Amino acid sequence: MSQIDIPADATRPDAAVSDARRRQAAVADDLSDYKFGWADRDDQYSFTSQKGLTREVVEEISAMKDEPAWMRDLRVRAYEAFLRRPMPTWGADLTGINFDDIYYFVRATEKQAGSWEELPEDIKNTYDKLGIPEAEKQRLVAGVAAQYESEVVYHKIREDLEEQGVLFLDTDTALREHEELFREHFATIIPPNDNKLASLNTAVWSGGSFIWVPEGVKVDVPLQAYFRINKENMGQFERTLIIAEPGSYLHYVEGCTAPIYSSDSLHSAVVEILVKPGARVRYTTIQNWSTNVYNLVTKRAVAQENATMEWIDGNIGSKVTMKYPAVWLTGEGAKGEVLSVAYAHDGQHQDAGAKMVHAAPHTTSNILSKSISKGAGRTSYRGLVAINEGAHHSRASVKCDALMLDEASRSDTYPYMEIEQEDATIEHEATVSKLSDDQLFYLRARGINEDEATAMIVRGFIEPIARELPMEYAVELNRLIALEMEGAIG
Amino acid sequence: MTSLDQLTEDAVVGLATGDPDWLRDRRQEAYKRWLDQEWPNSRQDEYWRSTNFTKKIDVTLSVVSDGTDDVDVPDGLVDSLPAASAELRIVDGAVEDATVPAAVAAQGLVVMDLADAARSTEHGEIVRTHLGSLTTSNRDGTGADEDRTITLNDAAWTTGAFVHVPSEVEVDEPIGIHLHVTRPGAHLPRVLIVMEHHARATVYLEHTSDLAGDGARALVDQVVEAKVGDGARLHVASINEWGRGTTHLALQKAELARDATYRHLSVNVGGDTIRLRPEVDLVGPGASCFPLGLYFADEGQHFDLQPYIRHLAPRATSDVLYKGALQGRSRTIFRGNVYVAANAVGTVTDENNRTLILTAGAKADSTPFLEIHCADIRAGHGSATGQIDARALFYLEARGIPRDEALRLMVYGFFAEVLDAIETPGVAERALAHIEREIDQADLDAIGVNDAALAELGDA
Repeated sequence: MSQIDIPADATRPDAAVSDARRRQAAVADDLSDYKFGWADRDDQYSFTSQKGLTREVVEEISAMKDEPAWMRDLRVRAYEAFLRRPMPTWGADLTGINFDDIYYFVRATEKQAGSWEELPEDIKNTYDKLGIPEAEKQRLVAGVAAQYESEVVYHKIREDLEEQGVLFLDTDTALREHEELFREHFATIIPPNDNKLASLNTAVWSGGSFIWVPEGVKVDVPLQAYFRINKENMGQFERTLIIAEPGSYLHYVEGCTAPIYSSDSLHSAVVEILVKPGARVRYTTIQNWSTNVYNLVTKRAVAQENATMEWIDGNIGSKVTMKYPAVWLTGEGAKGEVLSVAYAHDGQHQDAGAKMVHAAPHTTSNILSKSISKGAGRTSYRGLVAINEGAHHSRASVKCDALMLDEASRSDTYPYMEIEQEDATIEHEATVSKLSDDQLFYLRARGINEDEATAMIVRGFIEPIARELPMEYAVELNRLIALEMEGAIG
Repeated sequence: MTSLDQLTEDAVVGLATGDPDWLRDRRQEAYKRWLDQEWPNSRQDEYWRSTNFTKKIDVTLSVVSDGTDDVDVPDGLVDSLPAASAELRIVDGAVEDATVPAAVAAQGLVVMDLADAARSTEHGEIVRTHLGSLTTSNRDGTGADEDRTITLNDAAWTTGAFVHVPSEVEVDEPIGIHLHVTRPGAHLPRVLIVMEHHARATVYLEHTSDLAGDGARALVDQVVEAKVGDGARLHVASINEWGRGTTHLALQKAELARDATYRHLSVNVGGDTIRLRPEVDLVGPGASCFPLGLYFADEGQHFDLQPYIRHLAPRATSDVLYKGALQGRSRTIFRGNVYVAANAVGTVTDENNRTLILTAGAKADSTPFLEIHCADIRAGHGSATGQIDARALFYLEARGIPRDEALRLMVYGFFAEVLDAIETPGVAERALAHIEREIDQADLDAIGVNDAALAELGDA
């Protein structure tokens, strides 16, 4: 290993050095702040549940949404499962979560808006600052859903898609307007007792997206959803259900932000996706919660015959994330892919990964994970590839790379491979490395300062995933990483 | 004697008859810990997840401690060692004989009954310093050092071997320790190897069993501790050639001081259930270890192999390579872990597992973990599971090599990487003979071939 140690700014005269340092420090101070940390006032909300979770709170949520009895019963059953199930102890440290100190349901505004102008001023300003109405105006998106606290406050889909029969609704509306289709699929991929957090979500879910793409319809521009937590001690439990009929295509993109508070919030979503024969769904997440949010999400897709499911999962924010997007390959020839990029700095633990279950012949899966830890940040890759008996001629590949930027950083890799079929091919590779002295030296020798050089190397490291994102998201991801990199040392 | 489940203090004290006070006290302390512990719970304990304790481990078996006279110990690797080699044989819970040729004895090499060593004035202090120093430690990392199966051995080991190589003594001929089991029941052997600074030695641990009667069962719960001093070099080759009916639980752990080198080879071919923990604590800067594994599981066999390497000092290196094949209804688990502590700068580590599944019904799990707390290191790991490549098979057949011969060549080829890395004399040949025997037993028609690649060629 190279031990070359170049003194900082060795080639510059002293005065210029201190000047450049000052400028850099000013820029770093400006940029390293979490950009989405403002909070709106919350004293004019139309409803806020009591703190803590009881059966009454669960029933109250159901009553406020005027739900059918079967949904209320399902919520209550899930609540009971939540009480029974143990807290996971195998992953990140979750002891900081106090289930009694969380608001489980908060309604910010009475009525969903059809245009941005109809929204209360504060909420509108928030989305303006996030740049969402602008993106819609420029038709970068085919549909927008904006969830603020527990419910979706703004919703719009492009007319031509609506004409083709694509349903893009918030999940509450979908239950009211398409109950039969909804009931057929809801909680079938992730059952109410799947795990403690999924049980919690099923008990108190609110908001999220419901998407149904008719047979053969290809939604060429992404549908997007923006999730915002505003209130302190808020719990956001959105529920997303996507059904892609045979031969259809959909790309769904979600982003998340929250204000910075001293006490913690909880985000525990459930996402279920059914990809029918020959269909393809791509689901992209750029998670940028503030660093007081526990982000514990269950995401699972079923890919039927020759279907393709792709998860692109970027985890930059949050205090703790535990998220392992899964694909159950149940149909012959199905394909699953997870591209995961995680970034953890001081105080963050990104425990992310993927699950691939090969339950049919000739299925293929591919996992690519890139994680970066800086300061005292901790990243873990945790993943499972299972080849069930009968899933002959299946192929799976797992590649995890970790980059550690500081002495205090930590990186773990926990890959599980369980193979029950003799003619399957499984490959796993992982590397953990620090920033290369050679690469840094090369760049600095060409007059690039250390921060910029570091950022360039990191951008190169995540490039295989960034290039799979829609352009504006790739730009955003690179920008986020660049912000987080300020002040990093090799 | 009592069953494992009903172990009593009297039984433990009985085993300590003739032991010095410190050793009896330690056994009793271990017994108290044992009372406070539960048997491992496979539902809760991550490291017992793949071997169902309740189903696989019979704790109703009684401890065998008194040895058996006039047993024909099968000729094996240890028997084939040159006359200049020191040898020790343990049969049914007692040391049967120990031979140390005059030449090596003159060098200062000690190979003897562990209990005798503990009692002797000459070696008692060394045994006291090192015995149990690697079982009760609880170092960083997620793997629990101690579970009840280890405490059991701490409290109730019945017999053992002691190897001591003084400073700067280099022993050329391998030291052979042969453990043989003929009587059903629980066997609790112990091995302590102490290498002083700049010593060099090779130790063969051979494991065989021949249980009389159908349905006879033996459980061997073994602890091997190896302390490797500054600049010392130790090779350990552990060969599991157990007969059917035998279950083997083992902690084979080494602690490496500054610049020490340790090679550990584990060959697993026999027995019903094997749960092996080859572990290394790298506590001295610049130490290096090379844990190698070779295994071939067939009908009814269950191998759970858990190499665990802890980098606790700067600039140490580790290179783990485990390769195995399966046929019939068998199961293998590779649960490797490499832990790198925050101060272990300059660590270089690589961890690899390759598995070849030959026939349907076999199941292979592979979980090569990495836990890294230090950025200034190089770490890699890899795992691959697959079967015979149809293209390579076709290539060989097209050149007139019959299918069975071609398969044989490919299995050899698969294992060659491990066989080539074995430095201890005679071991590679013996491992190869086992592979040969497994292939002879193989149902050639049932061997699965990966024809996906051929199908792709056909499409093109």
